[in-house]
Amino acid sequence: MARYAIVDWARFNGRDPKAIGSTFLRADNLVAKDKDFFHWTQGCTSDAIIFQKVYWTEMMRTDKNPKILDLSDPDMIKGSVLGGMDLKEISQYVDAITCSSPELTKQVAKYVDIPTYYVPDRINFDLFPDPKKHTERAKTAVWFGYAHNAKEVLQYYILEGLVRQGLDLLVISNTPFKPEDNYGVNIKNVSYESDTAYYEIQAGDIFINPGTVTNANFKYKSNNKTVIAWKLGLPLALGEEELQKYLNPRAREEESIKRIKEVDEKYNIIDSGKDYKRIINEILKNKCKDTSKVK
Amino acid sequence: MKEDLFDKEGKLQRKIKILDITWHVMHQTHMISALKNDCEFYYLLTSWRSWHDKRFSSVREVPEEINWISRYEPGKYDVAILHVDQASIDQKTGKYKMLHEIDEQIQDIPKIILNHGSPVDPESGMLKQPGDTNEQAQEKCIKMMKKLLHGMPMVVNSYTAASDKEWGWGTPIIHGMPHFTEKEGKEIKQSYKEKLEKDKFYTIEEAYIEYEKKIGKQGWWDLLKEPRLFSALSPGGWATYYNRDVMLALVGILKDDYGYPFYWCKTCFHRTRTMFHPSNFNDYRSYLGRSLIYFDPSIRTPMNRARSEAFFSGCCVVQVEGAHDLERWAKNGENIIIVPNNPKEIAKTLVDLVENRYEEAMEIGQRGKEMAMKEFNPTRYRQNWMDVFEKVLKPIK
Repeated sequence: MARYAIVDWARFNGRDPKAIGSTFLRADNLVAKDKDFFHWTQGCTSDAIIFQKVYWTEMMRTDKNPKILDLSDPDMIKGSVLGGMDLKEISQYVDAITCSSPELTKQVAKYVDIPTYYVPDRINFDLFPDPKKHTERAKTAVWFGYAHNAKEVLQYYILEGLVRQGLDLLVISNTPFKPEDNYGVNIKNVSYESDTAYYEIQAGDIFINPGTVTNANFKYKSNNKTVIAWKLGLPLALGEEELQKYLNPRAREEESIKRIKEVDEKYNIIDSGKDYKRIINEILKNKCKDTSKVK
Repeated sequence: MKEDLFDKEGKLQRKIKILDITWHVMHQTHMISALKNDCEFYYLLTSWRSWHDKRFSSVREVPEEINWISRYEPGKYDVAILHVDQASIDQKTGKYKMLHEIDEQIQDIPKIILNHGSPVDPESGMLKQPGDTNEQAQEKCIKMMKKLLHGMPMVVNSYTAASDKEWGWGTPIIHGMPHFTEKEGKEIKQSYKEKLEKDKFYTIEEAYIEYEKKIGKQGWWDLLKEPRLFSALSPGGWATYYNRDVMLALVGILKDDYGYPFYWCKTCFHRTRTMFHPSNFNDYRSYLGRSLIYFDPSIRTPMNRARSEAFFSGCCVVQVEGAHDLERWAKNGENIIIVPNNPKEIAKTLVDLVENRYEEAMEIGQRGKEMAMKEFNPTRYRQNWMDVFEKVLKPIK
């Protein structure tokens, strides 16, 4: 049986894996659901290594087996000197790159000479409670994530829209969310705790996540928040128009049924395991070809 | 035990294959240098520390002798060297996690623990509970280390570290460093003089570097001594372990009462201290070699490597009393100045040495260098390690 090691960002950097979205979604979920994948440990042996946002060139240059660099952010913009990575440089030491959004995949593929694949942020269905049932007019819009992102996303025009629609705002964030002005919105801020976050999100009726932030960090982000909200039974509102639409419980219920079906079809973490295995097999096939050329 | 390692007479038949990881790069540079003719070094890459990271490779260049490996493969090595210090007992630390994971991986060969520290309460609040004395915290630390090492042989860096004053067990191996003999030192200075006649911008540092390339050995640079105060302590670690409180007070007194800057190398995050950041190993050797006084405040750290480097560089070493192993090689007023653990007294002595006792400090520095050549030489150091390897690797008759 082949065994694939994942060197994940959180453990590599001594952080709590549950508190790091990309590690939790792309590494921990996969290890939990597919026994062919395991968390890399010092000195371990594996048949391939996936570097989940870990830019460990020393290891990439030393290990001989297939290596995949898995990206969740456009860290090449910062470069390695500023804590990001040098994409062109690092792409010489791995066999393939996987990215968490189609936008990032497309962009990365422009720069590198190795295969680049889109592997969505997928979820572990076991961790999700039953979807929320909608029976009343919506009262609360919800957003969850890092507090510094909340400040960028929840701009004044969103807050004003919430006021006009008579909605409260629930923000579930890793650190306290302290906007300079609430623009008249009743804002409740709850600490993001990995064990209870999904239940907390269901205290809201609509997931608000405006797609209006266009800076590079957001442009390449995956849709994982949306997928999580959908699986929890919450519709996504990008702006005031959708907020208004989803005030109606029937509209929310219909959207919920439709999106849960979509999530079940496209975002099961088990499919990520299949994706990675397919990519590893491709790498091995190409390596064989290379060897035969040498002969 | 590898069958092919020793012949029937018990003589080593081939090089010992050592598995190691990047830990204390200064220590490891000297170890590789001393043992390169007897051992092959295989360094397992770990997520904890990378020698190729500039933070470490600027301190000591990555030795060419290292074979880098990405995974542990049973059967390929003879012995493993694993590293700890008192922080390793704290399960929250990367040091603990790394040791634990590697210890689990390696099941086929003997493992030797190299303990770099002493059982000072790590000041993390983990051991010393309210009401505990320092002695009680130390007892807990020793107990937890014993449990962590589960009987693996332990090497420590000083005799005191192995004594009941500190861990209470372990084999002391005192460091030994490559250095220039008296004859080599004279040759370097002669070559400098000759080249200076042809090139008026030629420096003594260049002469050292060229000589090192020629003979294939790096040593310490004993240069003209500037009247300044210098120290180099680890950037991490704890107040008690490094006696930082006294160091901090001293820096303040020197600045406020005497107007003297204290050059403290790469050691602190505290912005108000005067710092010196060498950009590479040669910068460091040059600065150290040109400093008249090297001060070491630490009491609980086993044999300080930076202090020995200062001895080899001809600096006059000033040491706080009570440090490990002083009784074995230190002669106060002859090859070292020993001062009480009192910042005011230390400041007075340091300034007096710089302002009024320059010649005496120079002489103490030279005698300190002679002592270091005798006590901290790589030949003895190599033999100590070979004895340990033989003990763990040779079949019992």
